Amino acid sequence: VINLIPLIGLIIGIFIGVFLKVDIPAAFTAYIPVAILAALDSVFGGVRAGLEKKFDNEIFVSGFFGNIIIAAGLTYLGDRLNVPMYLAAVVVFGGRLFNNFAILRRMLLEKGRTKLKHREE
Amino acid sequence: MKKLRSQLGLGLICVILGLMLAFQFKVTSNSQRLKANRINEITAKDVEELRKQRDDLQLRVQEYQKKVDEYEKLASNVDATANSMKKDLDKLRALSGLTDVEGPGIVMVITPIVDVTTKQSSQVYYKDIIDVINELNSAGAEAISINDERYVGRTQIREAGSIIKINDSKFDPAHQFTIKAIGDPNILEGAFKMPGSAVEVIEKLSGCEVKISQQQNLKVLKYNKYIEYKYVKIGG
Repeated sequence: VINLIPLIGLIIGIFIGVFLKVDIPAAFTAYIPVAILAALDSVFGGVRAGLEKKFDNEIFVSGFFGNIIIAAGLTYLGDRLNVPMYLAAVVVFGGRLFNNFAILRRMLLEKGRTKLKHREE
Repeated sequence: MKKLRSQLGLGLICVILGLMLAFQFKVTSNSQRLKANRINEITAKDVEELRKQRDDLQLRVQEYQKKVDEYEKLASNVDATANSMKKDLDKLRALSGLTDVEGPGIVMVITPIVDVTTKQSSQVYYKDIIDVINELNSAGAEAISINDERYVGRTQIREAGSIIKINDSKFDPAHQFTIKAIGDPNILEGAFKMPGSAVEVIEKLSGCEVKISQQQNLKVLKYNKYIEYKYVKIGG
């Protein structure tokens, strides 16, 4: 059950978001996608760290909010300077997402294989 | 215990992530719906209906014009002065573009080119049309029409938002423009053959294709709007 807490949290969040009538100012709509990317990156990183048994709550939470703030800040700065800085966030976070996912996949596969071997023995 | 705490932290973060995702989904779906509404506002059906209405009204104008002509004929039958007056009137009408006219001339077709890579069409710039008209007038054109809008003294050719307005009719600058001019075909065509001519400018700067053809029997339609003078006092 403990392992399912993040998934349950995600579903609760989506439900609140769908049913809550909160209007986000149009000016923010450019920042939320970047923030979502940053958040996704942090979550994947967290899951990976959890599987590696290196998970640290403080690092994870600070990383989550730090990433979001930096990503949104960079996007804002880019808007001001007329440089598409959000591309940097998209590329970096997107790349890391794939990276993390690849490592996750490998670790899970390995885990499954060792389990199978144990059972065979 | 430590595991539970870490999972709770992850869960809390996931709540926030879910919130943001849901908000963003809502925003994007909203904006898409808005766009769809905008497009629906002017449907092809509306366009068709309005066009029909316009044609009907034009037919009615023609009917009334016929009646006026009849009255004039009746009046001119009465005596010779009225007859000569009627002739003068017809001549003036032809001069001011209120009758269909025929004669030799040229047809210029300006076609915007669609870029293969970007799928974007080049556009006709309203000043291009003004330049061409100017050139035609200086080459002695006697009657000019743009997309069958007769060029008269009150004709405006201007940009209004993303369209070009000619005689209050709206034209899409990404569509074909057909300019007809009656006059000496050779002189009219020659006006666009010299280097740096209006046609060359259109081809180079606006990126449109221009084709000129001479015709012996060209028909130029009359000015189809009602001219009203509110402020001008004749002879004052």
